[in-house]
Amino acid sequence: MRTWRVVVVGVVILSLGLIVASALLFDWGPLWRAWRGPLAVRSVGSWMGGIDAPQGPLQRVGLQLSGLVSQFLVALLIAYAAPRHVRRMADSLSGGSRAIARSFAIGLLFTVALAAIILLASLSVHMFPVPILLSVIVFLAALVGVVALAYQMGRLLLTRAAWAHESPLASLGLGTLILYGLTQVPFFGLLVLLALSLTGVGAALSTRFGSRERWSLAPLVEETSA
Amino acid sequence: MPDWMDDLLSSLPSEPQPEGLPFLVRARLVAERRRERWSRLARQVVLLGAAALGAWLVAPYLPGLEGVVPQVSVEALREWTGMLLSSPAAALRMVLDGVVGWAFGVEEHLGPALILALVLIAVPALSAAAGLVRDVQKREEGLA
Repeated sequence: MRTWRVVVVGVVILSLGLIVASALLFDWGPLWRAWRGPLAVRSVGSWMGGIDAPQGPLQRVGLQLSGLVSQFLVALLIAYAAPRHVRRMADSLSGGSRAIARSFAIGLLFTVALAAIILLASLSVHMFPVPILLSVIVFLAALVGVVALAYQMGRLLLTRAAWAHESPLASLGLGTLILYGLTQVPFFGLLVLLALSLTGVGAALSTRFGSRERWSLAPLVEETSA
Repeated sequence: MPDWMDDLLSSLPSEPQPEGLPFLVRARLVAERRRERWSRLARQVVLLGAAALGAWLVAPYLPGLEGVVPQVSVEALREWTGMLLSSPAAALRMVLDGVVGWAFGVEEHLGPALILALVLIAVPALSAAAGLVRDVQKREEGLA
């Protein structure tokens, strides 16, 4: 228990360190000019590579931290809006690395299939809203799935450290901090963001956005045989 | 079990068990399981083959597929946001025009081979995802 408490504190310090270090070093003028671009995946105001990075160190750190806060607030809204759904999605990720790998695979396969369907749907004039709708669904799935992943990660660490009796917001906050810190590592962060999004899509779609409904055609069979 | 069920069971006529019935039942079960296993394997091989064929067909077109990814710039977003505030209807029309224009652009890129490749990739991907989702559901039911 004591070891896990040290681990939790260490992870918090490491995540904050990653955020601050990436803001101070990577967003520093000369490095920023050399490396900036979509692959860098920086936070507020620079993710498209079309806007100059802020020059002052405090301003750079402030922008990174504001990105963290906004991400936490979005997670908070989702958790309050649909707590049971978030809980079910988090439970589907609770089987350790195997469950996370399975969600990642489901997300990857669904995304590939949906991308193909989007391209095929664009060939028909009457299907033109389909690409927009499917893109929005994938985005929402990634968003709520990553919130569930953050909550599960925080809950796991706090349970091991015997701090799980604290508010669920502590789990959500801890998970968000860790995931946000990982996505701020230059270039590697892009891969992390992609992997997290795909895992989130997998968790959301495999549980039908955390509902109790199953992916099954059984209701259709029941109706026809009745 | 209630007592009346015992009474009913005991009053059933006792017929002699056919010779070798347990063996026949066991053999039938083994044959059914083997048939299911082979049918699952055949389906997986067909889907894997379709996905491989789709990947092989799409490979030469991959560099050109960059053109079908919608390009969004900061300037365009800024212009669209300004338009949304001043004239929402015009902003909506701009989005629809953009989508239709993008669809026409996609149509230019997609030939018959690429369309076939997309179908060959989408179906096995959905099937594999559905298989994994079934595993998740079975696991959840096991936990419940």
